[in-house]
This record gives sequence, C-alpha cells and structure tokens, in this order.
Amino acid sequence: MAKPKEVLSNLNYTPPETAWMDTPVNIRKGMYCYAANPKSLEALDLPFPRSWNPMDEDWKLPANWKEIIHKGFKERLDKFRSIKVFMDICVRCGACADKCHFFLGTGDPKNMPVLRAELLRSIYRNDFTLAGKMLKKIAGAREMTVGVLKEWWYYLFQCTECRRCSLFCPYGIDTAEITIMGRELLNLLGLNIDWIATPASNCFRIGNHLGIQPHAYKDMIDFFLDDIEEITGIKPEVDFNRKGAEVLFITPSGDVFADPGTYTCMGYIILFHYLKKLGLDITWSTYASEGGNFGFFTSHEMMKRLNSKMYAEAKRLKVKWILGGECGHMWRVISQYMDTMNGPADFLETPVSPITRTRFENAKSTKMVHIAEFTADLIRNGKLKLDPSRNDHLKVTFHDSCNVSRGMGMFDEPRYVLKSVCNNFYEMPANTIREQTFCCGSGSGLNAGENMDQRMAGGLPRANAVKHVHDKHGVNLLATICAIDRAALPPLMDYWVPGVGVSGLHELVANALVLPGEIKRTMDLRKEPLPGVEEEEGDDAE
Amino acid sequence: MKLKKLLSQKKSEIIQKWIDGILGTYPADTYQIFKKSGDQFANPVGTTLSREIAELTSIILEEEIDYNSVKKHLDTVIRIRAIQAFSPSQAIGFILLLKEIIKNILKAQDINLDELLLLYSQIDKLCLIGFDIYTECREKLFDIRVSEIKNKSFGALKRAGLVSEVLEDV
Ligand code: SF4
Ligand code: SF4
Repeated sequence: MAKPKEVLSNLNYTPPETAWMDTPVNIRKGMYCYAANPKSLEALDLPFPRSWNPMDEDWKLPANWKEIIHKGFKERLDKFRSIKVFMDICVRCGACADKCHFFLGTGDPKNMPVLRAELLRSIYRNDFTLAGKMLKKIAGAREMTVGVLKEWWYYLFQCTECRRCSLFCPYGIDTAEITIMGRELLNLLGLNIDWIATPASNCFRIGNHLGIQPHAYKDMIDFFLDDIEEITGIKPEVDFNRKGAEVLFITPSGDVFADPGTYTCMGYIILFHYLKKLGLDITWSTYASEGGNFGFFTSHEMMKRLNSKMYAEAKRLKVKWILGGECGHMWRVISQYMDTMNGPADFLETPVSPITRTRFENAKSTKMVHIAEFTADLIRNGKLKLDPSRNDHLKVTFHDSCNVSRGMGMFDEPRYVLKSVCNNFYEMPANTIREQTFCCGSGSGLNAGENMDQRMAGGLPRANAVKHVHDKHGVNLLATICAIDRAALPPLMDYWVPGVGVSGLHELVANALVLPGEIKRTMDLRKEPLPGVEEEEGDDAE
Repeated sequence: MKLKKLLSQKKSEIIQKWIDGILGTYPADTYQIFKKSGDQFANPVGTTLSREIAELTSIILEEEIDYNSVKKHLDTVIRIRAIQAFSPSQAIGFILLLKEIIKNILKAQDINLDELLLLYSQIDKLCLIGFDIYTECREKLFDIRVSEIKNKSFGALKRAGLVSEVLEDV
C-alpha cells in the first residue's frame, strides 16, 4: 500500500529547485494574450506579419532572427543611454523583488522586476560585455536561443510598465523602460499581441481603438444627450470639428463606447454645458477621437505617430489649447514623451481657463490640460454649484492609475474634486496609493479576455486593498481617472470584491453639479434612483 | 474528542507546519518572500494564506466543525490558488497536507484509530468543499470573460441602438 507521503508527492507539492536560467519557460493558458493579427501589423508597416500561435513549437521566425535582435539591441543601447545604464548598474540587491504586482499575485520568480530585467541583461552581457563573452554563465550571461526569446515574450507581456518597482530601486532602475525596449525588440520579429496591435492599427487608420467611424461617434454622443435630458431635463449641445473653437477636447474612446466610462463621458458633457454660459468655447473631434496611445506599447515611433494625430487636429481646427479627458497612457505620453517627441506645440497657446483665468504654466509646452486639474481649479475658485449629497449612496475610494500618478505626479487634484462632490470618501492604505499605487493588472495593452488568470493575479494586490476598505468602511465604489481602469477594474472587483462598482471622476462631478433650470433629480447618471427619492415618492402615494 | 484536545495543545505547531507546507508549494525564492513580510498589503498572498490557515486550523480542532466558516476561509485561499500556476489538484491539495502533519505530530501511543479516522474523514470533507470552490472560481472567470465582452464593449453600443440585437448572444 502506498504511504501517505507517496500519495501526496503525486500532487507535486514541491516545485523544481532549478536556478532561473535552467528553468525553461512554461507558457500557460490564461496568462498570455493572442498573437497580433497580421492585417493589423501590415496596416502599421510592422515587420513579419504572419499568423502564429504562442502555444506552437514553431513561431515562424525569420531565418536571421538572432541577427535582427542583436542589431536591434545594439541600436537601442546606443540610442537610449538609460537602457545602457540600466543594463550595467543593477547590483541585484533585491529591493525591487517583491514590489511588482505580478510577482505578488502569481508568485512566479521571473515576475520579480530584477529577474524580468535579467532576462534581457543576460543576453546583453553575453553579446556586449567582455566579462560575459568570456565567463558566460559565471558572469550571468547566456546565449540567445528560441527558448530565451519565448521567455522574453512571455514575461515582457506580464509587465504593465507601471514603474512601481523603480520607486524602490536605490539606483532608480526603471524596469518599465526595459520592458518597453524589450517589446520594441519583439516587434522587430512581428511578435506583438493582438490586444495592442489591432487597437493601434484602428487608431492609426480610423482614429480610435475600436475603429468606430465618425458618424457612429456622433450618434453615440447624441444618444448621451437624450439620456442627459431624461435625467436633468436639459439637453446640452455638443459640436464636432468646429474650426476656431478656443479649446479642443480629447478623451479616450473608451469613454464614448464602453461602460462605465460612458457615464463619465456624460459627465464631461454636463460640465461643459454648465460652463458654456461662463465662457467655455469647446469642440470635440471625430478624427482625434482617441486619447489613448497603444503605440506606446509597441515602439517609440508608433507612440509618436499616434500622439501627433492629436496635435495635427488641434492645428487643423486652429484651437488655442487642448483639454484632455480621464485617460492613463495618453497622459503618460503627454507628460513624459510628447515634448521631446512632437513638441513643443508652439502653434498653440499656454492654456488659460476661460472661467477662472488660471494660467496652466505646467502645460506651457504641451498645451494640454488634464480635466481633473481643470475641474479642481473651477471648484477652488467657487465656480461650480455642487450638491454632494446626491452621491450619498456611494462610499468612495480612489485608485491612483499608474500612468497619471507615478507617470506624471498627479495625486491631489482628483482627490480634491472627489471630496468636493462626495461626502463619503475613504483612502486605501498608504502603501497602496499615490506613488506606491498598485496597478490594475491590465495596463499596457494586457486588458484582453484570454489572459483573465493573468489579469486577476496582477490585480490581486490592488483588489486586496480595496477589500480592506470595503470590509472596514463599506466602500462600494472605486473611482479612477483612467479608461483602461474603468474597463479593467469591474471584472477584478467581480472576482475579488463583489459589491464594489467602478466609476470615473466626472460621473460623480455631474451627479453633484446643480444645473440652472434642471428638473428635480431623481436618478443618477446610471439612471439608478437617488437615495431618499423612492421613499419620498412612496410617502406621497400614501 | 480526546484526540482534538491533544492536538489543540499543539495548535501553533500544526499551524506553522501547515503554513510552511502551503507556502512550500511556491518556488523557493517566492517562499522566502511570502513567508517573510507581515504587512498584509505589501505581501497579500503570504499574509492571507497564513491568516486563513490559522483560522482553518482552529475551526477544524473544534469539537463541532462549523462548515460555513470552513467554506468562507477555504474560499479565500482557493480563490487565490485558482488563478495561479497550479493544476486543480495542486490548488486544493494543501488541504490533505494536514493529515500528514497531524500524523507526524502524534506519538504512537496517542493514536486512537477511530478518532483519527473520523478526523481524517473531516479533512476529506474539506477537500470536497475545496473542490466545489475551485470549480466555482474557474466558472466565475469564464463568466467574467463572457460578460466583459457582452456588457462592457457592446452594452453601450446596444443601448444607443448602434448594433443589432444579435450581438446579445456574444
Ligand atoms: S532594486 Fe535596483 S539594483 Fe536592486 S535588484 Fe532591483 S533593479 Fe537591481
Ligand atoms: S514596471 Fe510594474 S509590472 Fe513591470 S516589473 Fe516593475 S512593478 Fe512589475
């Protein structure tokens, strides 16, 4: 008879004890996104478009793939000093090891930022350093092989480029930058994922990620106007592509086409209507109908291409400046890259709020203002009549999106707005917010459906902190200023913390905003009854 | 039950061994980190698993096991393991580790076979509950995937009448 221990050992309790270099990559279903559609790669002029499957042995690589990678690596080492430095200076102190949400959620050591970087660094040592060339494995070097390439692909698409690890590195090594470079190299071999390539191609060809045509964009906004009329008794007007407007408004298309972002979109429309009489002259564009930038997850060139579209439209419409909606990577690109890539935008003017006359000096080069900042300024100057009790049914916490918080340093404006429009606001624990925020787990193009295990694991630390405030304070709403978050967090909550909804900031602003001439509000923007209203009506009936 | 009384005296040892066993299902480097930090936000998996294992041990060593609480705590553990790199048997197999830990802790003269078999069958029951939870978690993931496509991407378009009803079945 088998002894208990033998039976248990069949269940394989103890994982293999091999060193990381000797543990081959094991691509697991649920942890990766589908390969890029060749048509999308073609549309973007990216090399080697083909159908391939990550689970297949043969990835149909070009014969000279090693040479391409080596050359590409060399070029980037010459071009980006940061990469060269990051390759050289890591002392493997391990301070970053347990700071990545993917490591914390999956428990996979190769998701430790230091090892993620080592995947590339080992090749760097082998190909570009004397010690590596001579001492090989002793110096932490190894030859490039198909196995290594697959490992790169698997783990570089398990990094959301969130930069949390960089915060803890004594040398400031930013693994996000290493991932960005690694993904560029993979793109040289046509190894992108479809959730990035197809939105990028749609954005390039049609103007937004979903590939929605201008008339459908307008139809969708018209539909919001009807809904707003039903809720407030007022039907705002929105105009598109109007030349000579003072301000161009650009937001992620997710706000227009995907719930619950749509309610935030209605929020913008209501706010702009309110401000019209106070002097706001704003237009929307059906061409620059996307703020998000999936080019950022492909290559520097692609990011530049997609970013330039927004400015081309601003030039065409002859506006003075751009107001940007609640988006994540749009803002990271504006804040970190735009200025040196497509800027400075000299044909535009330094943004000045037409209502408060506040001059946004911080935007004097990019000429683009974040709507959370814009609205915070309005509230600060007493320009908005607000009734926060209309959000009393909500207990709200705030998720700092990596791109706007760590990526551009915006922490206080959205909180100031939230606290002005909601009476019940609770922070998550300090080591999970602001610059230390945990990623949603689906950023940088990983918000697909086929990698649901990965998304749930990556979002685990975030959800864990939400659960804490949900249990402790009864928090039932997670507010955020990023369209990817608005799409990614509802499933995350559904799995980890059922009972917590997700919203944008301006949905809550518009719930609270008292419009001149509005009807008595009985429902919020989601057409759910406001607290107290039902009982009152019940009383009337009696 | 004499056996449970005896084991209760060694509860902290049992908890420590069981925690060690479950954390030992992760690779060695991960084990070190998951075991080390006590901050529940910096080390969510390590602290959650440790806390829940301690709770479960207490419940199991009660004379009458409260299976509702068992379910709650097992859910917290298995919900995590269901999305990690474990096969179904590995995800819930940690429950059976308890049998081995108990057997090793008891001295031969302490063992009353009837009592031990009863406790073992209680642990088996936990395993069956765990199997249900694992399946629920996996089903939940599929549901989320389907409803994400249906609600998030097409919900808004449908509300606006921009896509046909056919897509409702996506
Ligand atoms: S914290 Fe910085 S130096 Fe230390 S291991 Fe991580 S990347 Fe290397
Ligand atoms: S950038 Fe974010 S996802 Fe990437 S390794 Fe660092 S912490 Fe992890």
